[in-house]
Amino acid sequence: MDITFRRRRAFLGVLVTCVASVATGVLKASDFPSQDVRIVIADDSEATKRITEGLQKRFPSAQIVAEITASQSKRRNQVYVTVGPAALRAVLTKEIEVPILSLFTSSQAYRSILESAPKHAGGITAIFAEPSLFDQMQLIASVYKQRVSVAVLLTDKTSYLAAGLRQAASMANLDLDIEEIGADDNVNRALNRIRQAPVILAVPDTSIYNAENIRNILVTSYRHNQSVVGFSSALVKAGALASTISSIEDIIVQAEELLSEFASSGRLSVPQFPKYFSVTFNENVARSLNLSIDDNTKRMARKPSGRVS
Amino acid sequence: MKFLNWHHWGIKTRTLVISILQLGMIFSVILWFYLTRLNEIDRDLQDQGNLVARIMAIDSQYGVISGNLSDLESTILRLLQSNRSIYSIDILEATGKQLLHVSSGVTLTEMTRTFEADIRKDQVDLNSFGINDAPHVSEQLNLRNEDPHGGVVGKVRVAMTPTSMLANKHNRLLTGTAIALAFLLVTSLVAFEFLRSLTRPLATAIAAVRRIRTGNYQTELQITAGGEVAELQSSIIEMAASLDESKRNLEGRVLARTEELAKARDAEVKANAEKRRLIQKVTTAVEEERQNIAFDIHDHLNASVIAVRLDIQRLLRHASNVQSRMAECVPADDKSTKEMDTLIDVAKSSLQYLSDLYERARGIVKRLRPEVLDTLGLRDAVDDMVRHFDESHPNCRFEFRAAGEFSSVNNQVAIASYRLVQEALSNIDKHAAASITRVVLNVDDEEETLSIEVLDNGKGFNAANTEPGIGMIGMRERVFGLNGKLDIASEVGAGTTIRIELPLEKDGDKKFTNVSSS
Repeated sequence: MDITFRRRRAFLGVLVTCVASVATGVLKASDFPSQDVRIVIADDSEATKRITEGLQKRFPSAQIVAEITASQSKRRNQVYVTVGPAALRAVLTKEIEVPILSLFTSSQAYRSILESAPKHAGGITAIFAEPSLFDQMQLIASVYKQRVSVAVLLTDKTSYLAAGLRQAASMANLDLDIEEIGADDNVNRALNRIRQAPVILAVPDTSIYNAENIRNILVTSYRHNQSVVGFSSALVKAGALASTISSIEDIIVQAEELLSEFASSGRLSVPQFPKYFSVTFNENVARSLNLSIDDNTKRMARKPSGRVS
Repeated sequence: MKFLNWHHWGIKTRTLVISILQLGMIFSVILWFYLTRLNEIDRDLQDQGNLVARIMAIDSQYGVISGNLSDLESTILRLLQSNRSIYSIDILEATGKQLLHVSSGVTLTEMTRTFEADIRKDQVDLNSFGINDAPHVSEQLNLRNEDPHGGVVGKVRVAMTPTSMLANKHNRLLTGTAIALAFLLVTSLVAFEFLRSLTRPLATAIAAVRRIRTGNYQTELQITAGGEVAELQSSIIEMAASLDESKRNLEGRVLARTEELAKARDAEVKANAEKRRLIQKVTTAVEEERQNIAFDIHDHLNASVIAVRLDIQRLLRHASNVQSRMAECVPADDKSTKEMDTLIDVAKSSLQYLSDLYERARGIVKRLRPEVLDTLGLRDAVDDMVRHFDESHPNCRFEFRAAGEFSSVNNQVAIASYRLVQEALSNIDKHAAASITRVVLNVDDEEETLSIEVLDNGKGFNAANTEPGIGMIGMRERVFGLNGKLDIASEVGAGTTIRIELPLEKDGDKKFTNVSSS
């Protein structure tokens, strides 16, 4: 619950960036030369392939880098776009001085990697993978149509989100119940402590929400007649009620905008949450919880101009 | 063995056999099913045990992971209450430590078996957005997850006992048997009711047919059934009505025909009587004419012949006297002597002719009117005739036998009998070439008949292929005229036997009407 001033300022920076982007609309096509973009990947998974294909459409001359050599690391006019946490960690270990844009990495993973990696001198920013806290709160407010209490489970790895959560809850006119889980604490006991809150907002935290115990959390919340608003379509499919989701294309468009701004201003934006999104619902869960989702809520989205959600 | 031939069985027997077969088949199927299921109990127990263990392993994930076993215990208790085949369920940690033990308390048997299943941490296809993950993507990429299962966190041990299954099997067997018996009973009752409704009208139909067979066509059969039986009843009723009508028509026709036949018979009898009277009249007329002719020949012709013969005898005496005197005269007149000799010769010749004529006339008279009948009677007359035939035919011996009292034989019958024997002997003389002939007359006073039998050992003839001659026709008519009976038996080479019976009573129509030959 104790949030440092630095974290609060970083979050406000992200928030301001997001709001500013929404206010100014979608930027035009990037002025950033695509030949200076290096797409760094660390695996050949299906997700990586799709992301790479999307990036290459936006940056046709961009090079895909699977392994960074010493000569590559000397070129300062380039921007490294890392795909996933493994690629980010790989770039940071090379101690290069080029700007880095981290994509498809959650804020928790981003912070964890930066804390464990050597100090990077070339500048680094990110578009986080998880949904914007503001958008998630707005989604909850739209679903319940009333002021409800939103519970959030945080550990020491995600406690930095508390300030942003309060801000977002306040803007969405929702009550916030942050439950921190200690190292020797139990998730089930924590779930029992927040059983009065009708909504649990799940934020990416591998010590809480992982493949092994997500079923347990979802079953328990269902038994408590609580809905879970998750952070991915997979979580919604597993049993969460809803989530805002950003597609690969949404992230890439936002990345293009960020790089264009970088090209024009010479300054990297602060790390930010995804700007463009749509929402996904689990109709079965809604029916089980006797929640009626109206069409406006189902159609909630923010997309770049010219795109249809 | 006849009972085994089912073609001879009645409807009731067939229905009974079908019911017994059904009963046997149903019980065989039930028994087979029961025995088969008994063998399958172990397999069912194994399948059920594995299934329960796996389901409980899945259902126990939350309890084992969360440590909240109260819900799991209540779930297991409900499961044990609903499935009596489960003896106990144990929830174990991965290390083997028992977390929960719930037992049903049913009787433990030697057949109790245990089944185990691992409690795994089922992983959701979820990108947890960790630092070592693949790229974090909030949208659904529909990527395949190769292994959705995590590690083993515990174990479920289920003890299954077949007691409940066996009890269920027995109950099912008893229930199935009861249902089958009830079904069989109902179907049998329905079948026998149907059978009764079928056999009852059939029995009445059969009784009606039997009455019809005895000639009682006034059946009171009613159409009481439907379908083929009704058609049968209707057919029997129609048949009875048709037969009754036919019987009436036939009886009418028979009556009419009988009347016609009676009339014809009466007409024939009348015609026969008239014919007989006519024949008798003709015969009598013939006999009378013969007698008249005989009398004329005897009285006039023979008298004249005798008178002429006496005259010629007297003339001959006178001529002899003249011849004697002329012989005494000298000289003799030769011419007169010769003429006298001629005269005497002519006289003698005429006398001889007259004698022959007289004898012939006597013979004719005798044939026309056998005087011996009047003088000797039938018996001696026939005897005389047979003797005459015997004397005149040296190559054949004629015998005569007679029995009975012939005084009761009237003249008409005597003449007819004499003529019949005469014609028979004449035929034998002309055609038979016999060496022995026998004539037998017999008068039966009790029967009041005269029987005539003429036998010979001649060459005989085939009566069927031989056209009767005038003599034979005359014999038949003569016998018919006396209402007698004529039987001619003959074979080629075996002689001939003629048997005649003539009634001696005045009204002979009652006894003999038949004239036949063989």
